[in-house]
Parts: sequence; structure tokens; C-alpha cells
Amino acid sequence: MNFFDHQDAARKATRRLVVIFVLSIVGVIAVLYAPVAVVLTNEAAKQRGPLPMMPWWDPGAFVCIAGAVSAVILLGAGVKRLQLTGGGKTVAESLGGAWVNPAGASPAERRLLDVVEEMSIASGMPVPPVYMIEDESINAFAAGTSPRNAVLGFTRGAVDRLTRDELQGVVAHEFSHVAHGDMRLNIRLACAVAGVMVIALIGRGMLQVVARAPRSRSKKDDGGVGLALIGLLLIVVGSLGAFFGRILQAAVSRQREFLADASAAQYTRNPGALADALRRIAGIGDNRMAADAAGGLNHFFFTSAVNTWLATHPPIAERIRRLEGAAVAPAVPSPAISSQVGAGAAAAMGIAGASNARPGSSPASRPDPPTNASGATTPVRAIENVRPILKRGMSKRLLEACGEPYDAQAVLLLLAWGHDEAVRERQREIVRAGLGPPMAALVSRLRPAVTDVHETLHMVMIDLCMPAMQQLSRPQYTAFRNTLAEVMRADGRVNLLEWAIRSVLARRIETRFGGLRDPVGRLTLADCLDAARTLVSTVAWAGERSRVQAAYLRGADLLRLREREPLDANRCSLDAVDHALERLAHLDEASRHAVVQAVSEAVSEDALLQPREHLLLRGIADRLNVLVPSAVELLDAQAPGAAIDRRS
Amino acid sequence: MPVTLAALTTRELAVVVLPIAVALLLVIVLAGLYNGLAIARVRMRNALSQIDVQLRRRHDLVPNLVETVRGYMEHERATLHAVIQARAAAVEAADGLRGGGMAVRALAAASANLDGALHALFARAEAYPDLKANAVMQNLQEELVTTENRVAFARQAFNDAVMRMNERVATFPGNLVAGLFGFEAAEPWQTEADTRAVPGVRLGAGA
Repeated sequence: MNFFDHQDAARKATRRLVVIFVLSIVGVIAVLYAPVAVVLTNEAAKQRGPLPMMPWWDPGAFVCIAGAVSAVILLGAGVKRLQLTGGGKTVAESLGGAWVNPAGASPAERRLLDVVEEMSIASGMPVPPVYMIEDESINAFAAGTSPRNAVLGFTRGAVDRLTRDELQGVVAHEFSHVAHGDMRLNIRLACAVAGVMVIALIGRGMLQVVARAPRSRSKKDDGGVGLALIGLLLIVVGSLGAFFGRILQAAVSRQREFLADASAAQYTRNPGALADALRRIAGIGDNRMAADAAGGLNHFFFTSAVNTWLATHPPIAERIRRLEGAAVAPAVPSPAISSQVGAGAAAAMGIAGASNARPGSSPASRPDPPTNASGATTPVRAIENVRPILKRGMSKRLLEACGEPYDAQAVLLLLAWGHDEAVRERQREIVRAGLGPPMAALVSRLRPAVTDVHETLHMVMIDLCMPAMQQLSRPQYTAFRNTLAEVMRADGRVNLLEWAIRSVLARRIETRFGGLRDPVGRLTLADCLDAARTLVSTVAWAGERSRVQAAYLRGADLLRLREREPLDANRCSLDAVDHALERLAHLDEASRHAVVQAVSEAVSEDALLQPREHLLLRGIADRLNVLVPSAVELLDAQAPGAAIDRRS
Repeated sequence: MPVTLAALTTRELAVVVLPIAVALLLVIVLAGLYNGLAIARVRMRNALSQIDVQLRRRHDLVPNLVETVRGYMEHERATLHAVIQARAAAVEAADGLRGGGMAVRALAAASANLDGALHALFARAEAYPDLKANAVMQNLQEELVTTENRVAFARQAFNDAVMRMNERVATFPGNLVAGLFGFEAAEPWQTEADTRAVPGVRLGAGA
């Protein structure tokens, strides 16, 4: 399975869920209508004369019940959704997490940030902001509804007690959740369950009303009994529905955990490290988080944050077994935890305390690294290469600047900087007027560092700036955005890099301020073939000149476009792409994936990913809210298409 | 009559379901308002901790600066002493904040004091060409200026978060819930104008 397949699988699971959800609503309506039907049939039987056709059918009562049930369920689901869709930032903050600012990071935190950056560059995913939860347990979570608003959270315990390799395994596991769309799946599941649960709540409310009502004459008592019965029925139906929903939720979630473990092994090529991390957690015995809020958000975490028998995570022993493909080694206590773990863990530590050697870390006990059929979509050993490439390609000062909310603005502004002195002078004026003289001074100071960076690293630079940019307040961001727009206009035209910056900002920052206002996709591919053709043609023209036709056909075949020729080059401007994207944004999810996949096929036709192709691909994918596989071969000096050292 | 009974059932249902639905809706709205306030408060604290990060960095830089300067500015003991004292006070105020309190005013005052002392030091340093030419000094000065800009920026973000919070606490639907659950308007970081002033003048002005 490759990258897109996993996302497809997640979507299929979602579809199944929707079907089950609708069925359960229908079931609830049917069950609630049953007593009405019984009463009606009885009444009809008491009457003289022939029975009517359908004595149990009363449209008025049915519509009333169906309407009330649907409204209540949808309302309940909607509220839950509102709570969860503020983006990952909101979830992390409601768990009490604080953003880890690179400037103030302790060495342990710095290590975590480095691992996250390496992982995201290696996997081709945007760098997520990292949040720290002050809790001694070892845990981690990914939250957010899409990769663009995802955040990762780690407990203090995870950062302090795991080794770098183990931490990398955990980070890779969370990245897999982001990449495979698990967070959205989880949110939908949670919403559906919450909706059905509301039915039971209403039932309980009814019972309470009856219990509190004053006893009176027999006639009213009848109403009370009926109400109580309906209430009971509602409780039973609602609880049963929610119960099955939870089981389903847990079952799906457990599968996704296994998948995330497997992918983490694939990303890092080091299944033993993740197994070690799990073993360490098992060695702690009681690894539950103290935060109350963790209860409802269990499925976000690395291991179950709260233990329930409807576990959202598979047993740790089973996860280790699958990772190592061997018998489970005994739990290993972490050397650092002895003072922090309470009495509950003492027994577990006693058993394993004798051995300090880590069985899982001996190379012999590990299986061969999993091989991957679709090589291009997984970062092959890429993680080890990322840090050296970054160090080689970007100065320390620049890397630091990308992580600072204040300095990151200057970096992005400089990426839009002009090539001749007159334009630059105007741009400096714009910055001074829009963001103040200190920012103008900072831009001047950082300019040499940014211009030194090779163009293959431009996209990486933009990505590195995003976590810091997300920390801007709305007025601050508005001021920056306006200034950036003016700076871009200063030379009278928008180039590809500027266009890519705009696309990434739109997706990763601006959706946050506007809530999540992705248009609901209703169109199918058949409605937008022209727009799709524009994209594929443009990308084809961006590649090797001699292979435009071939590149176009690669993408066109995937979308079953009838035209066998790409559009003329002069009809493939960025404006045309923007225009096409506006239309394609209304596609349903599967079609958006198909379009991005076609674009990425066209890009990879000549097996040489050029910076401008990468920028186009990333910009298109971001605007369509689709993740694209890694472009790390672009950075890898040894790869055949390596561009970074080509000039030197 | 079946129809009458059905109608009765329907009406009864409506009588039962409607109040419950309304009550439910009310609870949901309240929960939404509460969540909004809680998140605004968390954002605000997060923004404050971002200021703290920058301040800590600055506090770490000052001793280096003092060490570097000491050799050159033999006769400026008072200025150096002021910087050292201002730093100690600022560190203390920042530590108080980390305990979970929101003593923004004290921290703001202490930081402004340190700002003033540093500016005074840099102003004096202009008179020592050797010191000005020192690479370490130049580096430190740039770092401190950069950090100061970052502090200002983080402060602005914090004040934006405070404003959002206070808006929610003070305006109509939010103020009902805020009173119920003890959400209070927070204090913004208000030393924007004072920051540049010399400490003595500021005290005299009674700001």
C-alpha cells in the first residue's frame, strides 16, 4: 500500500461509518415509532368494520418522531464537532499544552524539535507546531483535522525519558496518524457516538421529569407512566447505539494504531526503537495522564491515555510483537523513572528490574527493515540525511530565524525579495511602513543568509517557518499578510515562489483564523475536466522540455482525459492555475486526491524533480488540501535527481 | 378514534420533546460559551509564556554583557550596578510568573526597568571606541536588540489575546457565563510607552 492507498482506506472506513450511523438513526426512529404503531393498531382493532390498509401508520406521528430524532442526533454530533474542529491547536491547548518555542527550548526539547523537523522533511509533511504537556507519563498525540492544521503534543515524560531513537519512533508514529488522515476519522467517529448518546441523555431527562412530577389523579398518572416508558426506551436505544458506536470506534482505532506502528517502522527503518519506546512505557506500569480532559480524547494519544476496556489502543505487548515479529521481551524499566513512579508500578519494576540490557535493541533480534514497493512515497533512510543537508544548506542563524515568530516573517518576506536594487529599495520602504523599522533592519540583516540558500531548499524553508507563523495573533498576521502582498507586488509580477508562499499560507495559517472553511466538495471530476487539464499541462510544461507530451499523458491517463495533447504553453500561467484551483476546490475529496495524484504523476515522469516542479506540486496540493508524498530525493545529494549539489 | 389518538400522541410528544430540546440547546450554547472563554484564557497564558521564553533568553545574555563591558568601563560602576540589579529584579518577577500567577504588571515594570538600564549602558558605551569595536560586544548588542524586538512582538500577541479574552468576558452572551464560572478580565502588558524612558524619570513621573 502506498501513501494514497492508506488515505483511501481511511476514507472507505469513514464511508462505512456513515452508513452505520445512518442505519442507527433509522433504527432509533423505528424503535421509537413502535409503541405508537402498537397503540394505533389496538385502537383500529377495537373499531367496528373492516381494518384500514395500514392501521399502524400515522404520517404525522412519524414525521414528528423522525424529525426530533434526527435533529437531536445531528445537533449532538454538531456540538462535538465544533469542540474538536478548532484545529489541532485548540485540542492541544485544551489539554493544557504550551507551544515549544525553539528559542527557549531546553536541550531535551531542542532534540524533540529536531526529530520532528527531520521527520516532517523526510516524510514530505508540513512541520507541525509542537506542544508540551507537563505530565510525567510518557505519551504523545497528534491532533487536528488535516495535516495543515495538525499539531503534535508530547508529555514531559516522553521528552525526558525516551532516547533519541525511541523518540524518533514515537514521532514517526504520530506522523503516520497525520499522513493517513486518522485524526479526521477519529473526530467523525467521536461525533457520531456523541450524537447517538444524546438520545440516551434525553431519555434520562424524561425519567427525571417523571420522578419529580407531583403524584396526582389516575388520568395524569397514565401520561407519567407513558413518559417514563418512552424515557426508558430512549435510554436503552441511545446507550445501545452509543455502545456499539464505541466498540466500532475502538476497533477502527486499534487498526489505525497498528498501521501507524508499521508506518513508523517504515519511516525510520528502525522498528526496534519504537518497540523499545513501547517497552519502556510498559515498564512504567501506570502510564496514565492526570489531565481530566484526556478521557474524551483517548484516541489521539500514542498509548491509551486512560485505560478503559473499550480500549482505543491495542495491547502494548501485541504492538511490540508485531513490530519485532518475535516473542515479546519482558518490560524494561526506564532508569530515570524510579523516583517518579508511585507504588502501583513497583511490582512491574521488580520483575524486570534485574536486567538493564534491552533485549529489543540487539540487532540480531530485529527483522529486516520492511521493504516498500512504492519507493518514491516513503522516505527511504531519508531521516538520517535531513539534518546534515539542512546544516549544509542553511546557516545556523537562518534555521533559528525560521523558528521565531518575529524572524520567520522576515524570512518569508525575503523569499519574495526582488532582484534589482530599485525594487528592493521600494520593498524595504514597504516593510518599514507596514511592520516598523526594526523589522526592516532585521530583513536587511537576514538577507545574505537567505540569498545564500539554494533554491531546492526554498520550500523546506517555507515549511520550517509555519509553526512559528501559527503563533501570530490575528492583527499581527493581518499586518504581515498585507505587507507581504505589497512586497510581492513591488516588482509588478508574481513568480512561482511567491505563489507557493501564498498557497501554503492560505492553507496553513489563514484557515485557522477563519475556522475551517474548506468548501464542501460536491463536484465530481467530470465537472472540472478543463481545470484539471490546465493543472496537468502546466506541470508538464514545468518539467523537461523534451518530455512535456509524455509527462502530460502520464497525468491525463490517470484522470482519463480525452485530450491527448497538453494545453499551449501560453495558456499555462499561474493565473490559469489559480483559476483552475478555485474551481477544483469544490471537488469531493476522492476527486481532489485523484487530481493531485495525476499532477504528481506528471511531475515524476522524468524521474527528476526540479525545484519549480516541486513548488507547483506543493502549492497545488496545499490549495486542494491533499498531502503529497515526500520530495526528499530532491534534497538527497546521492539521489539521481539531486539538485542541491548540482551547481557546486 | 385513531386519528385523535395519533394527534394526541403527537401533541404529547411535542410537549415532552420541545422543552427538553430547548433545555438541551441552552446547555449546548452555555457549553460553547464556556469553551470559548476557556480557550481564550489558555491562549492568553500561552502567549504570556512566549514572552517569558524571550525574557529568559535576555536574562541569560545580560551577565555575558556585563562581563564583557566590565573591563572597559571601569568608571561606570553605577551604570553596571543598575543593570545587574535590574536583571535580578526581572528574573525574580519572571520566576513569580512561572509559578502560574498572572502578575503581569510586576513583570512589565521589572522588564521596563531592565530595558532602561540596558539602554543607559549602551548609551554610555558609545563613549568607548575600543568597546564599540569589540566583536563580542557587537554580537551581544545585536542579540539583545533582536531579543528586545521579539519581546515586543510577543507582548503584542499577548495583548491581542488579552483583548480577545476581555471582549468575551465583557460582552453580552459571554459575560453571563464568565460571571458564573469565575472568568475575569485580564490585564494587558502596558508599558509600551514607558519602555524607552529612563528609569528615574519614569519613577518621578509616577506612571
